[in-house]
Amino acid sequence: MMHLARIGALVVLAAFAASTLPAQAVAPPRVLTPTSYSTDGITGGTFPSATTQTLQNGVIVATQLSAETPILSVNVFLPAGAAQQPLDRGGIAGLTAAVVLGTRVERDRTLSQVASDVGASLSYTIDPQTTRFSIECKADDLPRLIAELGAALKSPDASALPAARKAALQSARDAIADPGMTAYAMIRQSEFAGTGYAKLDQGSPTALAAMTASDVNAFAGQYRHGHGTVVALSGDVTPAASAAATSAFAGFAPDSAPRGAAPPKVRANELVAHRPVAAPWVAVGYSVPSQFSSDFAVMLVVEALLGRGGDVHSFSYGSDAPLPEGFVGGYYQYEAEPGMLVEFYNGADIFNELRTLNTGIARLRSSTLPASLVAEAKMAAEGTFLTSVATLDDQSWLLGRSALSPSGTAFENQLPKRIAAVTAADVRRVAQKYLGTQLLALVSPNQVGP
Amino acid sequence: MMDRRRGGLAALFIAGAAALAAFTLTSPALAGPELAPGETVLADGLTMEVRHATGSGAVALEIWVRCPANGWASSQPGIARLTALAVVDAKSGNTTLRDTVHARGGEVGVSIFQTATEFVILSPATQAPVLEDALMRAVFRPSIDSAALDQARTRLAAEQAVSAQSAGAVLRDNVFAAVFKDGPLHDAPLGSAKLLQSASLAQVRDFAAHSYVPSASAVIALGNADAAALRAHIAAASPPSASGSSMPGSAISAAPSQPISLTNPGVDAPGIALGWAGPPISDRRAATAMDFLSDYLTDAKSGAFAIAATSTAASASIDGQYVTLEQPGLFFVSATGTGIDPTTMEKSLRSALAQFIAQPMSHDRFASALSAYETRLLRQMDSPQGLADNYGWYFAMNAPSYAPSATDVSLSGEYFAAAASLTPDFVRDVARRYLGAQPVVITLTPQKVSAAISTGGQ
Repeated sequence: MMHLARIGALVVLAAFAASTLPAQAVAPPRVLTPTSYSTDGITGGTFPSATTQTLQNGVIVATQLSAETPILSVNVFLPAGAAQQPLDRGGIAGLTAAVVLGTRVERDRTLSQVASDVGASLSYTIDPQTTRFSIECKADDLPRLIAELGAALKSPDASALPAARKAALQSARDAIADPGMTAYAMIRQSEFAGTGYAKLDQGSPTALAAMTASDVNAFAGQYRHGHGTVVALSGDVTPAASAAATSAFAGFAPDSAPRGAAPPKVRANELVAHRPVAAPWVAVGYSVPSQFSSDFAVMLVVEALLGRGGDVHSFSYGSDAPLPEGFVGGYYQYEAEPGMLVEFYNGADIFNELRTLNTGIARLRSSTLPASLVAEAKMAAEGTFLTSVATLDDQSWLLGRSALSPSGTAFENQLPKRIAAVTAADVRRVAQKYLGTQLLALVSPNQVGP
Repeated sequence: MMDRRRGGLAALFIAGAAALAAFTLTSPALAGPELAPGETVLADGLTMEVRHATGSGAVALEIWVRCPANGWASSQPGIARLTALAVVDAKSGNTTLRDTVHARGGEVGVSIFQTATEFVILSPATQAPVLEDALMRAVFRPSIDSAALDQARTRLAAEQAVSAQSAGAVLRDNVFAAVFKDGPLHDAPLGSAKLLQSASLAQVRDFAAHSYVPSASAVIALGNADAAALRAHIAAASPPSASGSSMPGSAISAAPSQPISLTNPGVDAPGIALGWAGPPISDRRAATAMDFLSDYLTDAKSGAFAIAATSTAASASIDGQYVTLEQPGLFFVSATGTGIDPTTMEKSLRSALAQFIAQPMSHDRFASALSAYETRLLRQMDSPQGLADNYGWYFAMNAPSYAPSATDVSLSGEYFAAAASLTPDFVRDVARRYLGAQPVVITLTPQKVSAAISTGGQ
């Protein structure tokens, strides 16, 4: 089972709520004192300084050099993600990206095969607002690979569609059969109704079966806008690699991609589905701030108070992303607009766990937490953020997300300081603002009977 | 992050580790192997590698201990894992190492190989000194109580249950058991359910006291933190000197002439595995050639075995590697998947190997394959944990200076020098010498039958 620690933290919050004592009279619930919290060592910024270049067509190329590694990672963010899918074409983003990877670029070798031939990784991920292609390779191999990616984005190869569709259909069927994904799908459907993000990224088997090469070409056309495209490079970024990254996307149109529709205001709702499962699954969803909201750092502290969960990529759909089978715990999708917090429970005790969640959230909303508890949560939130950036791919991903933010690439080094500045009053304010409306999705075992 | 695919060579090496050698572990500083650049040995015998790396927000804090997974008398399969899990959940003061790490936003874990135990914390850069102290205290001054042991039993039971359902894991464990007749390399690192019932608190404490000694251990700290401060913390927390023991040996079995057939009602798919003994780590160039062969043949996407396997059964999934060991290593490949016929798949894999051995690769093809191999190896070390795992593994194999992680942007170091020295003819000769021999063949069928295991004759 994953992420059970969340329950423990909620018990702490619930215990506070149940107490009639003044908050400061309650014994410290966990292991650390506020004085052990320190931001020493990050005053100059944890992450190396970055350089950015904005091309005439609006494409941003962000670079972060490292003198310690002989390889580099590139994340290319294209302004067409799940939210930009037509309402009746859920799954087209994933299908299009898969066709891009399957496009023949050098004689009979596909883009994926060319990458594999040189030992590189090449994958795609469907994010809420972007489709992201990731490459990790030696610097000498990047010019060839990124040029081929640029060519495949321009002309996806329709002959790759059958294989891409077959894989997508299998993934969609797997998602439907998984009770956790079913609960997650109900939350998405309700919170993002009327937008391209309402459907699971896998798409439905019916919609996938109906998609054509012209659908793929139409969606790929949404990639090629300069504004909203970010190319983020980390590691051994040589001048040749940097130049190649720049030229690969210089042909994009100097305009912005159309934005997806804004979701309606969320209303409290309870949804039920039935599946052949032994015990019920529950997902509880909240509409919360996105990564670029001024409330984001406070929300990370709130998330830490609720306990440990999966990271933002836990439910990502992509070429290298497995289905998050059996996910239990918290999931904060802050790349969506608005953000989405979902708590997952499974088993015979879910209704007690739901009570604990509700008690904890009531506590967050109704009273000011002790400074020691907030300090602990800040330490955990900062630590979780820092350890989430572990690999070279993580680094270029965060660099690219930072470049997309209103603060630019400074975002990644500002965030720990913003977390450190969060107060107990901030926590209460944000909990009141965002955690008052709850969506509840229940996946119940099939009833036995005639 | 730990809940992502694990970085580094430890993930590749999950199957094994080794050492037949009768070397003593009492004074690696004097009698031990050449160290990797930057490594030092403290007065008590503790090996220390601290390396600053920018970019990541994390620091990998690791302790590697050379010790047998099945106990010093090779009679307690799983004792190393049970003990390590208990260490993580043992209370020091009013908290455990697990809770201390989680409270600071970090992750903690253990990995057990047949001849090594790894403790790892992925620490936020800002918390590395505090968590380094906590890790050193937990491992070198453990206070395992019955509550921690109970927690460890529960976790290990769950891990054993999951592993028993994985065709790949079952095949891998059985290849080791077939290639190595006895000793630590014979038994699966997760051990058996029997140990969960029989191991006492005293036995677990004894194993920790016997094993977790500085002369058999390396502390590795790698990432975006103040290296000088971390070195000072490690030196200050280093335990008193204590002698270690020699690693028990594992003899190699002759490969049976017939496949070993397993039936297992719990596994998720049928499969087949082939295994061969390979060169020891002391034969650097041949061991590196085997690593290259492992990449060229068993890469899950482009490897020759993967291409052969998927052309035979589209659902086939290939897993394989060369496990470099202090004494003869182990090359294995497995193919699993719902549509696999083990007999047909064996022919397909052996045919692919025969084609490779039949003639050397062209120089152009070899150069491309070697470069791709280097890139895949470097990608496994694209994080602090990936690099630290790699240092740790080669410490455990008594060859720290040969660690691929001991390199830089120019690919300096022993390992990449050995890789650069490879030629098509040499690689083919190594393949013929080791992979041309009769392999151990294991077939696995997820079919319920009365006899759990039947063994083919020689």
